[in-house]
Amino acid sequence: MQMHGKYLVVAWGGRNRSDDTAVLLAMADSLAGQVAQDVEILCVPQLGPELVDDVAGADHVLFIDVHAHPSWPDLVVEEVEPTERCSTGPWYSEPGELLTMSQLLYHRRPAAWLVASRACEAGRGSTLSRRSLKLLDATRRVVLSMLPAAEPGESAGCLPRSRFSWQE
Amino acid sequence: MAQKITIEPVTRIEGHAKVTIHLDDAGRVADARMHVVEFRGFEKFSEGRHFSEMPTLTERICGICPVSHHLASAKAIDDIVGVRPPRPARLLRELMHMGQLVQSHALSFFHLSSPDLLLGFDSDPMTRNVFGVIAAAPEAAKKGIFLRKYGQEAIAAVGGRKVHPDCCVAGGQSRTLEPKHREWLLANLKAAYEAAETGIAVLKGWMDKNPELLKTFAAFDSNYSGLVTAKGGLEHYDGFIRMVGPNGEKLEDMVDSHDYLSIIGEATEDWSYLKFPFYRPQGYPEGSYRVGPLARLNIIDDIDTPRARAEWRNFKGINNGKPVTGSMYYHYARLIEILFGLERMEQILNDPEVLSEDIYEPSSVIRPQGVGVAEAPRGTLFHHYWVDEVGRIEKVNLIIATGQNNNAMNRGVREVAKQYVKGEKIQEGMLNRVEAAIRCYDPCLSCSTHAVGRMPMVISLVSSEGRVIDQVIRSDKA
Repeated sequence: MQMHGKYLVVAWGGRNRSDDTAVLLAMADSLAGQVAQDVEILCVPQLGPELVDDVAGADHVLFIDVHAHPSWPDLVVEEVEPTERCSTGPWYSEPGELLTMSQLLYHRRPAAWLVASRACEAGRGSTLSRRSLKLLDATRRVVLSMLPAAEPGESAGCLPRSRFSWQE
Repeated sequence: MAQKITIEPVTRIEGHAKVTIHLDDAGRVADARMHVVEFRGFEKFSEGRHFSEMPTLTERICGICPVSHHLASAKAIDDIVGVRPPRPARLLRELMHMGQLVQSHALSFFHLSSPDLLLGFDSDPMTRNVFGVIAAAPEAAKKGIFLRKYGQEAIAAVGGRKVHPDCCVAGGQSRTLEPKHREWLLANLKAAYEAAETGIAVLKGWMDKNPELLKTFAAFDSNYSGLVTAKGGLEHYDGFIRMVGPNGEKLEDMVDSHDYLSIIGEATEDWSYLKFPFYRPQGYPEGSYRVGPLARLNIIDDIDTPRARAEWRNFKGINNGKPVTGSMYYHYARLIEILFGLERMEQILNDPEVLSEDIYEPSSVIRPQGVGVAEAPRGTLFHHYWVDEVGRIEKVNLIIATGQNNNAMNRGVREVAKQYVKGEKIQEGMLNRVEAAIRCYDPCLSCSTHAVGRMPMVISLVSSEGRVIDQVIRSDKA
């Protein structure tokens, strides 16, 4: 499905938290220069309500995170739906909550996807675990395929219609 | 038959707590306690690290007020190397500090507490949250979000990132302020003032409709403590310790931060990991005191910025110049401090030295200990380090704002429980009022226990024999 409009990439995770951070930073680095200039890339330590303006201003949003679910595949891509329930935690929001806030505040909601790759190490550190390092290339390819490329004609942003997963 | 009610977890606070309410044989509230059930141990595992690591290590205690830890820690290590940073460095630190004050207070008021005020304590808990606030008052919600963003941008402008900055070093700062960031902050200041004024208007509207509740909800006499300027004005970064009694009488004044241990002691209870600091000459629990926005506005003689001063004069009129006792007034004090924070930021941003590169004073001295004290959004924060001859940490003492409000939160919970808890069955409105008493203090439990795990509260109703006869448990989802 080819998409047009404004793209926003929001990668989030704690700094110096091994895979949690390194995947995000590596993703941001590897996207720079390879996607169209008007694709906005944000690397943030946490999702909070202050991101709602950015989310509401986009037509398509890719949330990039890591996951540690034992039963999930190594790489998961799934569409994000607005959530009806609100987290009672004070300082973080889920991607679905940001979509709900965007709808409530600005009466518009971008299409949104979550790209989550497996994290094996979350201790203090700035390097990737071996498994995450191997996953990084697949994650990069998937994300790049979802965004308009820097060079016209290479990719126009092909977003999946439903959940997509990849297992090493 | 005596019974006990437990609330767990307490919601819309930072950290994990539970409340137990003990009923007597007649079903009346005999006692109530807020238990903090997290434990982290930062004081212990800092031992052996080099003192220069402490600002970036201790700020990991918290994701909401890392700037306060970063600054208090930086001041402690300035003390170890015997250097007072150059004025431009101090301006940058205070600019970042005010950014944090604004964003943290905005989060507390608009995100955590305004659902109770705008939607009502008894409204449906499924909608009594930020979604409900957005639906009920979208323009106020937008302004709350903007204020938080504005504060975060100020933190990032000085500290390099919005959470866990890394700019403070012993003797000063590691990076200057870029002109483009100064320009953005100045350009958006008007909108930030408007947002703060909107918050005050929303709160005043609620205050006008709820005069009785303001007077009686978790209202009690106590001591109050905080930092003041040399002239007794509102201060958050530097200054001296002042402690006042229930009638505003000065118990201590102009106490140098190095002497804090002479006036503050810490008690423990076997039912909470959170310590109970107290005013040493009065002992525990008689010497318990409150800190944070309400305490700061109760102890000062003046505010030297015009907008905040005008609002503070209204605040002082509430109890005819004596300390304001109602815990709900913490919200009003918080909003007045947002105004002050913005005004102070404006002063700093317009100071010619704010772009100076003279931000670091080197030193090779290592003194055996250092103390750093600052006013975090929730109250006074003490960092005290002892080091060996090569600068390795031998001992750490951290006294956190939320700990200093521990006894007050327990007292607030007790007062509210006595007022609203009737009979054996837990009512949702009662539960939320007990939580609201705690939220007034905007506790940061991860900070104060130095916590692992999920944030959110259990209410249990227990008999005099210890049997739980009713219980309400909240997860971190509404």
